[in-house]
Amino acid sequence: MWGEALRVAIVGFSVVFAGLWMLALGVKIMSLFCKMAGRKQGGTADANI
Amino acid sequence: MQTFELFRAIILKTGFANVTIGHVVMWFIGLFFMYLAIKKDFEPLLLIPIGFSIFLVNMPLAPLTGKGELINLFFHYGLEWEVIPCLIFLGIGALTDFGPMIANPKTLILGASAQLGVYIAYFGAILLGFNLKEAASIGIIGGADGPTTIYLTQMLAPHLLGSTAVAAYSYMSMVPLIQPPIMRLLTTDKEKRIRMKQLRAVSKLERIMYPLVATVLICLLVPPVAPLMGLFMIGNLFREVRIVGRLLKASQDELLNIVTIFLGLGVGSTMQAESFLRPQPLFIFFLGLVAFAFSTVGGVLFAKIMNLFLKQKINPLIGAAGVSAVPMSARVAQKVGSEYDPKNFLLMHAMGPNVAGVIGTAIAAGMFLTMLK
Repeated sequence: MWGEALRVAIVGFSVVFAGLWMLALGVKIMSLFCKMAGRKQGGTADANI
Repeated sequence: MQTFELFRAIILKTGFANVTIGHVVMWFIGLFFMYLAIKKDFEPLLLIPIGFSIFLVNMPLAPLTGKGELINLFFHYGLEWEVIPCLIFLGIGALTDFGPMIANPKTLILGASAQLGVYIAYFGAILLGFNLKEAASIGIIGGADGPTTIYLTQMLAPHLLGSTAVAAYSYMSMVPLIQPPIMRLLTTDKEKRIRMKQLRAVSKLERIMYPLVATVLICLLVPPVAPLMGLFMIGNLFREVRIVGRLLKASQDELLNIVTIFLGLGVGSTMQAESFLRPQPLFIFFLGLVAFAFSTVGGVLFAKIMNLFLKQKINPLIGAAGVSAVPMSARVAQKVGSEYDPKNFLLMHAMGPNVAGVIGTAIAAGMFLTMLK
């Protein structure tokens, strides 16, 4: 039981970190594309659509 | 003689003749919840319906919690069918501003580190004799997220639903009491005074894209929590597109308020004397406190570790906001920070880890479901 418990905790906690790290990366990339789209439209980087 | 027998029969059918010590103890517990809400202003929107429901369902012979009876219907359709946690997330999504997190995505990692308490309490529960599914349901209290706690417990250990839900909501309301001593203990005065750079403005396009990006990533990574995260993100999309004012208002006002009433009554109804006054719920309450404390420790310590590698230092107090009690733990970070530097405005910085904590807890719950269900 303890082996299984440890496996669940290690895998779970690792995926929480990996998931939020992926999301952080996804947000960075998304912001980059949004800034590019803003510039293409002739606005500033923070232009609203 | 017949009249006497009639009176006796009537008296036996009243609650007075059926009150037990257990009922009276539960009345006091219900009154305590209402006291916290009314006098101390701890989460009154939740603790008043929960407290009154505890009071009500412990009235002997009252037809409230049997099959098909009023409060049982709220519990059955709202909580057992898992409708309420998802609708609560819709409302929370409609109220949440992801801007600070989009502006500073590294704060997302603080939302992960603040899940430490979930796993500490999980091991604590196993040590106290709970099985893995029960331990996961207890551990998730450390995420400080009531709807996720209900969602996970209902799937893994439905017999613990009352205790875990009440523990989660009680401790969420006590965030201003539990977190500050830990935050003060783990940070130096210099760290508490760290001022963070003002966050950049976030464009409307980023705000609209975020719920779509997050839905794709989270639902692909942990499909079991798609109902929770899906409604969380659609609520946020209602907020950010700014063209569905009626849906936004319904989500963040009417629907959320109605669902909160049913949630409170449903959760309180699980605290009946016969099932609640046993050692198990007391262990769960104790482990919930452990989970909350260690989640705060995880968030603060990880922020300090991050500072070893960052040029622009972050104030470690915002790490404590990685537990997901939104927005209370962010407000606590602001309050503790302002005690040491009244001109230090940490609230918006703390909102990043705060909303990341909601997602982190959902991922932790999703992983428990993936591996244990």
